[in-house]
Amino acid sequence: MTALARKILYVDDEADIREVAQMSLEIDPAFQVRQCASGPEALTAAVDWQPDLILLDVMMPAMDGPETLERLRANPVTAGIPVVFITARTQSNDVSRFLELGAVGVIAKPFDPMSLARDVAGYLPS
Amino acid sequence: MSLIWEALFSNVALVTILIVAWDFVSDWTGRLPRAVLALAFGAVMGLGAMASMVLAQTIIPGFIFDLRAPLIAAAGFFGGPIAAIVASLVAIACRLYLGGQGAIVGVIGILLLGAVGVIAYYTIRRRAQGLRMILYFSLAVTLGVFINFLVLPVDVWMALLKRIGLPLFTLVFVSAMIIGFLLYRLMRRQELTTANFIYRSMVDEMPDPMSVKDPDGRILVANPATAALFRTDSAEGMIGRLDSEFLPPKAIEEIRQHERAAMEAGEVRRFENPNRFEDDDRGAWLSTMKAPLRDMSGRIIGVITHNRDVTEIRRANMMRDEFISTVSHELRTPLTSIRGSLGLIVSGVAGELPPKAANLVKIAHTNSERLVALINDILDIEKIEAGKMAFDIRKEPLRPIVESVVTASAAFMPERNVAIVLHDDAPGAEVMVDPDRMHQVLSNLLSNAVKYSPQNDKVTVRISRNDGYVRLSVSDRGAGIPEAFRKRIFGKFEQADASSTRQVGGTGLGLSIVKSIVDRLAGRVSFETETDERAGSGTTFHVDLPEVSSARAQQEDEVAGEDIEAGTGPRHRVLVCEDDGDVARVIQSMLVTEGFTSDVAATVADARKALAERDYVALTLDIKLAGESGLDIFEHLRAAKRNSNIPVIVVSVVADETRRSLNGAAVGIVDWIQKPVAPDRLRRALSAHLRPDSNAAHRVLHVEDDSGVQEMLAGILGESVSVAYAQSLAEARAATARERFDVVILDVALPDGSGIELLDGLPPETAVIVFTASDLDADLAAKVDAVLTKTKTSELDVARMVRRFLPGGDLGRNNPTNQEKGAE
Repeated sequence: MTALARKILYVDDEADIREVAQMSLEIDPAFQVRQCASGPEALTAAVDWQPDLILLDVMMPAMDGPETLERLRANPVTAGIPVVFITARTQSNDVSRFLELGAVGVIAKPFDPMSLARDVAGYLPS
Repeated sequence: MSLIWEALFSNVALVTILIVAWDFVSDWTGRLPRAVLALAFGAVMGLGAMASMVLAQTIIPGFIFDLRAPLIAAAGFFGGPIAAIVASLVAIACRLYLGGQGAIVGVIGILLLGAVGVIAYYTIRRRAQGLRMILYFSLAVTLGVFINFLVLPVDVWMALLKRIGLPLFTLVFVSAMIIGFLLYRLMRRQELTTANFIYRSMVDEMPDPMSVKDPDGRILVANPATAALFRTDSAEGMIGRLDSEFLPPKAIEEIRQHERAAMEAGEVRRFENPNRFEDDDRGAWLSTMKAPLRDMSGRIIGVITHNRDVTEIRRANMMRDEFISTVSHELRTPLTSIRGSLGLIVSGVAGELPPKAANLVKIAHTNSERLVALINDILDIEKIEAGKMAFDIRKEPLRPIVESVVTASAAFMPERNVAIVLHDDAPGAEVMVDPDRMHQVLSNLLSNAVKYSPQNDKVTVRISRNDGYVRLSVSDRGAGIPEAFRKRIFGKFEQADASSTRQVGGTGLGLSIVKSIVDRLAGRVSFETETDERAGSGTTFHVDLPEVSSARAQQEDEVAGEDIEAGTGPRHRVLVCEDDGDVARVIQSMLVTEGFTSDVAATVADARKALAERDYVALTLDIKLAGESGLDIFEHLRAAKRNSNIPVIVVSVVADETRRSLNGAAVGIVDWIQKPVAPDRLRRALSAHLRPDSNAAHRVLHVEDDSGVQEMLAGILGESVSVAYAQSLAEARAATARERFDVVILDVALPDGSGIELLDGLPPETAVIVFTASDLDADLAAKVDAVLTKTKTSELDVARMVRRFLPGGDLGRNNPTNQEKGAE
């Protein structure tokens, strides 16, 4: 639709998954993807890079996804960035909890690499 | 002549006294080992025979006529061969000692009667019972005595018979009857004692606490395990005491409630609760079973309790849940990379591969997809079975769900080139479903159908109506389901042919998931299959879901559980007492279509509160309410000021049983409906016993072929406005011919013509609001009361406009201006 570049921040402690996810997202030429390996890294990147959307893994050591989200919300500079959780924990009570935390969506792992970009695009503000 | 009668009578008395004495010591002798008991019994019978001989009157010198015969025979008959031998020996010794001419005949008689007893022991005792057995024994004894006579020369026994035959045989028979009767009673009593002892041991040796109480909680029976549970020393010491002496009042209250539930339902009830005797925080749990105790006439007079410690089971379940959650995460994480990488390679994102490598990667990719599907299916099954899968059940039209699955499945297994064709024989049919779960059900059925279809064939999906249900059928023309497999088809990891897993893929869990989900949606799954190719082989799966009539469909909110908003509105209200949220929603939606609003009470306490706060026209009642008995509500109802005589419709899985055990008329039950509830059945009960809404709401007809627009508008208009729907010009004509409407909302572009054609047939008092996407020319616009354009006007504004045209609104019929025409 729009030729404007969209900045996606992908946060996951698994390097392999980050790699696959970046390639999957870049199928959409409009997407610019940057990776982060941890919550604290993501907080810094979110401030510096001002992504259009953050894809956030839930189970990460030290600072997990929900905590990272909470901190993003606490900072006025990053509070408005939509966050989508990407997680293997997709039991319905988990999902509803994530949405209550303020995520705009939840994407299940394992994701389909060919449709990840499309799914993410659906969560971007138009 | 009288002498012999007298002599024998005194003998009868002697025999009787002896047997009574034996009976008297039987409590003590009952504890003797069997062989010793037989010896003692034989000896006593032998001594009795001896006394009988010694005390007999001499009628003919050398001969002794007495009643030793039944005693000796009874020794064998009731005591067995050992007792018979002992009794016979004692009697023979005595007879030989007394001597005389008849001694030999006497000894032969004793042996004969001993033999009669033993033979009878092995024959009569095994074949007859009760009085008949005693009678046969007595006849055998009498016959034995007669045979004994035949040992003598003919003229002698003929003469004897003439002289003493009558009294002798009569009294032998009578005393045999008396002895038989008394010993038989004794035998029965001992058998009962033994049986009792066995039952008692069964209860006492049981490591699970078991007890029997009367309705007040007084303990009638308790086993040692119960004593241990109650932290008291002896089980016997508990008998006659109240359970409240051992437990805090709060616990007792709950226990009483459980017991009442079991007694009122007249059937076993199971509960799981924390073990209240454990004072530490071990988190001990008991699984408790309460069964009604009945007397011999079937009246319920108490309750039987069985407890089992389920702490470990619960702990294991929790660990299992945690384990599954962890495993699923741990498996999915590496699988995410594998599937993702392979998917990207296969799609060519990472560049072109040599054909051989491409083929191998394709195989790896397909199998990674299978692994993902398998993990997802296993987790789904696990969740459904543990009751942990959340169902978001709401009223939905079935067709859009089906359409989306059909579209999504069209690309499924493209190499098979199987077409999916949809037939809708029930347009507009609505059901109570969780759309996501329904999606899962249908895609499972569709993928099966495609998998088992011949190449280039087609699969048919059909929506139809079937007796209050909406039927969704998926048919293929494959080979059909083999006979042997049909019974197991809904089991786990079942595929007709294990090798087919490799050929057709799939996890073998699909149909099991389908069945679990459909069960939760109060529906049914069935199938028809034909394996004979000549008859046209193939398989059809049917999913039947209760239909929600869309006649006067209301907005979603009203169907949702907690409809306790402040405004009561003009419609009549029904209280739905039901602890299962899904079932409650189904009942509520049925009520909505019948023109009632409703509240849900999940517990007896909620129901009481609701009944005290609001007026209801009826009550639907589940007998089982969250472990309580729904019948408890009646106690309150009869005493209450409000709602005290409203009709009650019992809706329960135990409706039929309870109906039998309860006098429904006494408490105002007007109907009993067995779960699962068929919509027709509830509809009939409601229309038979409830007055429909007499305080008619304002009538609006919405003519619109887009059901989404209809739904949304209905939601905004709310319950004070009653909306009828028409999806075509023909339906609209039928509706306006049938009744008068205050307002008609009209879409111009209808499938069978222009909505404008409807205008001529409308009475002048009906206001017409055109709500359409097409532009209306000025002539037409003049004929209607308002024109609103889709996309420019929101549904909210349409609703606002409708209200203004309703009686009481500022544009109500008394004020028929057209000034709002074209308002945007």
